This record gives sequence, structure tokens and C-alpha cells, in this order.
Amino acid sequence: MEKSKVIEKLFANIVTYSYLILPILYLITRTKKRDAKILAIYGIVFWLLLFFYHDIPRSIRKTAYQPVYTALEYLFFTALFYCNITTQKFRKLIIALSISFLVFQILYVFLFEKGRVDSIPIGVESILVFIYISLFFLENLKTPGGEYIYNNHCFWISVGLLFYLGGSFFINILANTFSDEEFTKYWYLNFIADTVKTIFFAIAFIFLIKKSDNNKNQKTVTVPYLDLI
Amino acid sequence: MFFLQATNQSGVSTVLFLGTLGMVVLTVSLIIFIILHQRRVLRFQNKINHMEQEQQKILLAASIKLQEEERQRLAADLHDDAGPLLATARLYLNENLVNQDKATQLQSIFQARQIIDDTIQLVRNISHSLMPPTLKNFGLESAINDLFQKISGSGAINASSRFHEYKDRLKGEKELIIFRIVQELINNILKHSSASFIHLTQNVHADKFYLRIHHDGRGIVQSDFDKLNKSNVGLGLKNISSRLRVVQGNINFEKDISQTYYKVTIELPKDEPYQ
Repeated sequence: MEKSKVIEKLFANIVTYSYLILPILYLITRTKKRDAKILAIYGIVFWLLLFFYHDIPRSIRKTAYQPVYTALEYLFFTALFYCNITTQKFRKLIIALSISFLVFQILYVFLFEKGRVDSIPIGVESILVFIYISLFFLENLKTPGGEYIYNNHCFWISVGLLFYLGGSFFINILANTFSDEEFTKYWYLNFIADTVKTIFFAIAFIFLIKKSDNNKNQKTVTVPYLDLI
Repeated sequence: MFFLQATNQSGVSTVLFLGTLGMVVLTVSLIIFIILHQRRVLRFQNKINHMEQEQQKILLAASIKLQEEERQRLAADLHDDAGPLLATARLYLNENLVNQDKATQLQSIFQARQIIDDTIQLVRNISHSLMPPTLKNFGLESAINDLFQKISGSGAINASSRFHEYKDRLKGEKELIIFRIVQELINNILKHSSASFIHLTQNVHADKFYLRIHHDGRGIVQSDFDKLNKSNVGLGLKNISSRLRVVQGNINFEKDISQTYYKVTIELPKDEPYQ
């Protein structure tokens, strides 16, 4: 086997199995937090998608697998932000953009010719998720709420996504212009970005559990009565 | 896009690496910026919270000190005035048991009654200083008019008050708080200002209740008030601040445009009609 193929396989395995960290953390902690459930389901779904990737016929990979992968990825990321953004205006915007994206994705499946990677939907997905991350940061900067942003699990999700989408954006956009050899040579960038994202998601999971522990430990503080009347 | 199309294969890989590197650098910069910005905002908020807590502590200490002073005054009044009077009355009544002479007995009973009347008057005065009966029975307008009449009656200073719109009385506890604030302000004016007149006016404007006191003596402006409020002196002013906080009111100390008079304006939200 060629050296580059071996490295690619190693990276692919690391990415695939790194997704299992999330459901494992969920099983260990048994937290009932909604975001923890979303992360655990995300981990299982994408581990399955990557684990059975090579068993799927090449034709189906292009026509159905990739659009479904992109759409599912988008839906999971969007769900996480939708649950953590409280401003009604922003939530409505997320719903509107998501409906538009899904309509676009369906049209893309039926109308456009497929390449090695579905670059256009991935590009659109990346831009939309960047917008949601910006909305989350904007909301947090406007109303700091007395807590450092890095204590919020969604901050770590955002960091992971920024590294993932930022790191894999150009490789996804340019993927169809590469030869097979070049594609194999550079695709590891996507694997690195994906693994980094999963690590940050695991950190987010830990912060999520820490937050629920802190809430449990919080005691009610009594305000002293000023007898002025 | 033009840039991407114009480049050859090795150029594409350069674009790929530079683009990816650029995105990663941008991501890191964005994260660092957000963290630093938020830390700065939170540090500022903490500073404000700390200052507010300090202010609260000063106000609490002032109110406790004032309460203690009030208790001491009451104790002194009871011990120094009521105590000796009652002891004297007891002596006169004891005289009745020792002396069997009818005329002397009547004389001592009369004396004892006189002393008990004085004691009743004294207790009434103490009670009135704690809670003026005019305020309780007839409201803020009457209580303030009464207070100003008493001051004016002393002849030392010309004091007048005028209520323009006080058909709907404020709640009892609010009236008491405002009355205490006015008392404190008047005391300060009498003690420190050497004014020749004090004039109080009341009005209502746009759901706000206003009381304004004018005087022609030495006074303070808002910056002095704020400074005294934050310092360890000016117990009475701190007490005014505490009371105003309870009724969600504001106070403003300023000099009249003519620079002749000082004016103090108390502003608080208009209450539901008194029931």
C-alpha cells in the first residue's frame, strides 16, 4: 500500500472513532441535558456514517450519501445553536435560513451534476454556520450575564466548528479541481479539522456537565432587610 | 473565483494552504478577541458591582448608626425626664402614708397629679417625635404645613409651604419616608445654612411627584451631595439616600439660575390613590 494511502487510512480511522468520544461521555455521565443528548446522537450518527462509508457503492456516495451527510451535519450544528440562542429575532432567522438551505439542498440533489465532493452545499453550510456562530457571539457580547464566555459549552462548540469549517473550507471548495493523487494528498486537512472539532465538542460536553453541577450546588442567597421605615 | 481559475495546479495547492491557514488564523484571532473583550466587560461590571456593594455598606452602617442614636435619645429622654418626674410623684404619694394631716395630704396629692400630668405630656412629646399624629391622621400636606408653621412661629426663620396638587394622598409608609426626608433637610438648613427663609412647594407632573425646597442660605450642589454620600461623614444625607432608595425616588441639589437661592428637588413615582 502506498505511504499516502496508509496515512489517509490512519487519519480516517482517527476521525471515525473520535466521534465515539461523545456517546461514551454521555454514557459515563448519564446527564439529562438536551445538548448532551444532541451531541451523543451526533456522535453515533456520524460514527455510523463514516464507519460504513466504504461499504456504500460509489454511485450512491455521490448521489445520496454526500447530500445526506451535509444536510445532517447542518441540522445537528443548527440545532445546537438554535437551543442556545435566546433572542427571538435570531431564532426566527435561523429557522428561515434552515428552510432555505434544505430547499436548496433538495434542488441541488436533483438539478446539479455531482462531483467528488458536494462543494457548493458545503460552502453554503459553512457560511450559514458561520452566521449562527456570529449570532451566538453577538448575543453573548451584548448580554454578558456575569459569566466568562468560555464557561459556556456552546462557546467550545463554536470554537470546534470555527476550526472545522475554517480548516476544511478551502479543501472542500477546491476538492473537485484536484486530481485523485492530489485529493488523497491534501484530504488529510479535512481529517485534522474534523478531529479537532470532535475534541472541542468533547470539551463542550465537559463544560456542559460542569455547568449542571454548578447549578445543583448553587444556594439561595438571602438579602439583608434594611429596617428603615 | 477569478484568482482560483487563473492559477495552475501548484498554485491551487498554494491557495489551499494559504486559504486554510488564513481561516485558522482568523478563527484564532476571533476567539482571542471575543475572550479579551468579554473579560474587559466583565471586569468593568465587577468593578461597578463592587462599588455598589461598598455604597450599600456605607448606607447600612449609616442607618444602623442613626437607629442607635435615636434609641439613645429615647433612652435619655425617658431616663432623664420621665424617670425623675415619676420618682418625685412617688415621693409625694409616700408623704401621704407618713403624714396624716388632711391639708398636707391634699397638697401632696395635688403636687403628684401635677407631676403625672407633666409626665403624660412628656411621653406624648416623645411619641409625637417618633410618629407625628398630624401625619398619621391628616397626611403629608398637613404634617409639613404644621412643621413649617412651628418653625415660622419660633420667629428665627421665615418658613412657608404650599401644596399645589395633593388630592390623591400617597401611601402611609411613603408619606412617612418623605416627611422624614423633609425633616432631615430642614434640620440641615436650620443647622448649617443661616438662611432667612425656607419655602417648600409640591407639584405633580407626568406621573411624578415633586417636592422642592428653596432657601437663601449656604447650601450644597449635587456633586457635594454625591461626594458626601460616598465619604464617611454626612450621616443625615446617607439616611436621605437610603430612604429615597426605598421609595425609588431621586434627589437633586442645585443652585437657582439667579445664583441667589439653593434648591433641593425630591422626585418620586406617583403612587396609586391612597386607600
